[in-house]
Amino acid sequence: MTSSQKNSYHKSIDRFEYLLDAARSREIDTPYKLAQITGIPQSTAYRQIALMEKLRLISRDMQGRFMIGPESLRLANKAWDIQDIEVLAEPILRFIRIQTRQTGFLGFVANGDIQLGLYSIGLGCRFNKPTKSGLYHFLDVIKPLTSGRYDLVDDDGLRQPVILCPVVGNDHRELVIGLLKNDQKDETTTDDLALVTDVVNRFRAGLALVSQKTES
Amino acid sequence: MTDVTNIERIAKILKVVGRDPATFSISDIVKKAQLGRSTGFELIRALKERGYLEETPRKTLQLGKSARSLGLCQIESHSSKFHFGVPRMHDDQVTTSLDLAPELFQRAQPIKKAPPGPWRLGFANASSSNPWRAALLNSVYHSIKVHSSEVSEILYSDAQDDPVVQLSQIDELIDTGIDALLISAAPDKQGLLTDRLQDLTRQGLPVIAVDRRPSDKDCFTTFVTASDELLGRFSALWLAEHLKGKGRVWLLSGIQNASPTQRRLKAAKKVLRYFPDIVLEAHRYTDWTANGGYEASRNLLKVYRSAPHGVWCDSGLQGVGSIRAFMDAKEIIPPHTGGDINGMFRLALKQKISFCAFDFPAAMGSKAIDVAVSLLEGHSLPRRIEVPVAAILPRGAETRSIKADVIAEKYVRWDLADDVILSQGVALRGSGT
Repeated sequence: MTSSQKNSYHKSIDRFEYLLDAARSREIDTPYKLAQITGIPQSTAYRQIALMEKLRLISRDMQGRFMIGPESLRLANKAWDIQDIEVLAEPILRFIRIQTRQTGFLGFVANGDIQLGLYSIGLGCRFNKPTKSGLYHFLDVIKPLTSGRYDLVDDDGLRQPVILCPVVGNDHRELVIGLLKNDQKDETTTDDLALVTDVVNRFRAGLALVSQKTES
Repeated sequence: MTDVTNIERIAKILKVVGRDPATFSISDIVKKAQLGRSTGFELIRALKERGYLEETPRKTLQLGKSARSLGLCQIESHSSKFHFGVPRMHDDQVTTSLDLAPELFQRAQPIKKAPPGPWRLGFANASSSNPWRAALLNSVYHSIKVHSSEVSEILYSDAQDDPVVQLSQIDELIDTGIDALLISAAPDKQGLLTDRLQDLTRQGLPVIAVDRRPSDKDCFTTFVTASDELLGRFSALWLAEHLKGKGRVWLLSGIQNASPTQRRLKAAKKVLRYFPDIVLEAHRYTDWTANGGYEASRNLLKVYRSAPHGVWCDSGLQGVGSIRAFMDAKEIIPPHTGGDINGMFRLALKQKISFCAFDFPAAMGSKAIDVAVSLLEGHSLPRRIEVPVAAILPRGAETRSIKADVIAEKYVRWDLADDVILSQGVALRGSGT
């Protein structure tokens, strides 16, 4: 194995990541634009995009925009040791967005960090978008995690208030549903928390049905 | 060695490790992913270095930190160019709370023995009697092209809104040996379709209802739709707030026995009840046609002799006809609701009519094909799958509670014909309209 061959594996992973990141932005609707943004040569990019679509690592929404595909979501959830949550999570996150107009998200808490998964962007002046990596760190050590308002920081040290409500967990990680808030005031927290708690209860009931079916 | 084959190898490795985490050694994974030994070992090493794989104390592999971040994904996209200010809720503000249908959290029975693909699908359509339904069909055909490696053929029938005809067409489709049935149910008050569809689902055939579901919830596997409740409730709320809670309103619905008509109307009335000074002066069915909307408003103008303060339409399919009736009668055109059709946006913007549209996405046809393929692949899906509905308003028409997801002036297509349905998504490209 030559060093150039070794490098080519990393180069392949780089391109795999470029395409996933570009699809994640949900703003690109043609393979041509996707190739341009990633800087991958056109013919290679076209073949890679076709393959990644076939493998469902990326897919398209109803408007034809590229997005993260179901296989990528399944892999992520497997990595967190939680299955079959994405289809249950979508209506819940859309519901949170409609009701609060803020950004609702699904997150995984582990080792004092929270990694965001699926999210639904809120509208209006309280619009708030997750960081590019979706990774945040808790300011304080919190154990056990209970429903409430928390302050997180991103990799650049910027503060991000959130509402969090735990769904299920084990020793290694906790699945949470939450809201990204961009105001420092507490006046809407009670209502938001009640809403997220209600939603989490419905989500738990859905998850229980999933595990019953899996067992049977 | 190419990137394409390496990407396939990466996917294979991650899938093998994801299926049975912390079970296999590197050698096992290389074998299971059917990779060459040297390539497999080096690729796994690279994936470990990049955080996609991590070693357990037992020297087996599991998915790592980078794999855990793969799930960061926006569930729906919005234009990043328009963000309107949202005021806080006031004490006297009518709630916009929605109910979440319980079926969103119930699982459809997975298909036990789907034959290997590519599959043959059948689509028993209620009708293609209006532009929205034609766009739904267009979206279905577009998705078939996208899924050409999984779907070999789709057989289509049009019941012209007659459940008896649809019943016999379903039998004809079944006789051809289809692997899954898509149905958009004809209005069926007597439940004529129920027994046959129940038999088919019991036999294990995936039955995917789209847009209009059969009356009995046990006679389909999954229902692909958008929230009629959201559409009805939020459009009525916009109208009531736009009228400052006071005035005469006419309600123009679609087809009398169609399930979306009933759900939208019920939701709209529920909201309008919060406004005691809104008078619901008249209600008519219009068959979701421009002519139906025209006749309804023209006849109501004869009865009441003056234009109302607002017209609630559950779609622009009839809304566009209603606006023309006011134009022909040389009356002031009241604010309208209802989107869907390009002509509604063109006419309302040209006439500077205040309006609010919640487009019922015709692109759900494409989603229904995705769902059929997923079910046949053995995935477990919810009993109900909702696609997002966007609020489309012209500049200056926002109210206290209803804000635009998309601005109408940017959404309208001046280059396309009036009868084009804009919510058919990517299928709109190359539609020749």
